[in-house]
Amino acid sequence: MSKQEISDIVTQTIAQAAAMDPAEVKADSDLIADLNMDSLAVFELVVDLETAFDLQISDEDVETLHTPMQIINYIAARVKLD
Amino acid sequence: MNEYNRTILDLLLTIYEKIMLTEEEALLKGHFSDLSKAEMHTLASIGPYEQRTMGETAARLSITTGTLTVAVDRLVKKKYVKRERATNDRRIVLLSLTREGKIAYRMFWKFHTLLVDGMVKGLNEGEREQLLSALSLIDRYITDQYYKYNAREMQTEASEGQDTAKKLSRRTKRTQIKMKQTREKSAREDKVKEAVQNEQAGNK
Repeated sequence: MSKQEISDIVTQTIAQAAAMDPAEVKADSDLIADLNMDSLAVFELVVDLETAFDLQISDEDVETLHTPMQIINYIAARVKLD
Repeated sequence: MNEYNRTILDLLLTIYEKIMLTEEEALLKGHFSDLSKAEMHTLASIGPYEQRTMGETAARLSITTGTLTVAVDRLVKKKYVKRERATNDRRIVLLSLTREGKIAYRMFWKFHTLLVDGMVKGLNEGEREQLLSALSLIDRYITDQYYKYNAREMQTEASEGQDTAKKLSRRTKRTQIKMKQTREKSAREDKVKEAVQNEQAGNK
């Protein structure tokens, strides 16, 4: 999987959890402050990312992920890149 | 019973009761108000990543498989749990959480994290360690008492339950070691800082 593919899936998944258009999701948007996601939406996102990338994301890691870019880098570091 | 013992007993029972009531209230007012406290505990005992057998899940909850079947029927109907047959042995039923089940599990876990954060917020490092030691001693004693009374009726469940108790005890030890390491690291850093400050003062 390429980093671009990861980025596309993450952006799409965030847009779905935040109920917004993927074009509105910016790399440095804060999930809570800018995209108005509440804790339920964040957990929906986490569960969907775990399924999409077949990995486990701990609560401690969730606490460190605030922006789409951080999520993309986190996943890129954990999945096999092309 | 002397006053000290009575106060300890009252506190333990009150804390237990209030945690249960708080859980119930949080569930009622949260996003998963269609789940009862017992159902949420069933989701937690299945866990977000595992496929568990009925026997395993019942043992983790200290209930019979008959009672669990009723709970699982409801959770399957509410779409929180998936029930499927093992591919290698069709007699075995495997339970796992659906997407909704996993989200509910994570919310429930978050609720407990915040609850414990709040409980220990006012305690310093030493007090936290003392609390951990005292609680693990109490837990060990109560676990022994529980299995002493239940040994005859629940031999299989008891052995699985004792495994859980052992795991908890190992986790407590790991936490204590981690706390000790953090304390030692911070003491070493303080010493280095002090040495640097002394050196700077000497240079002046």
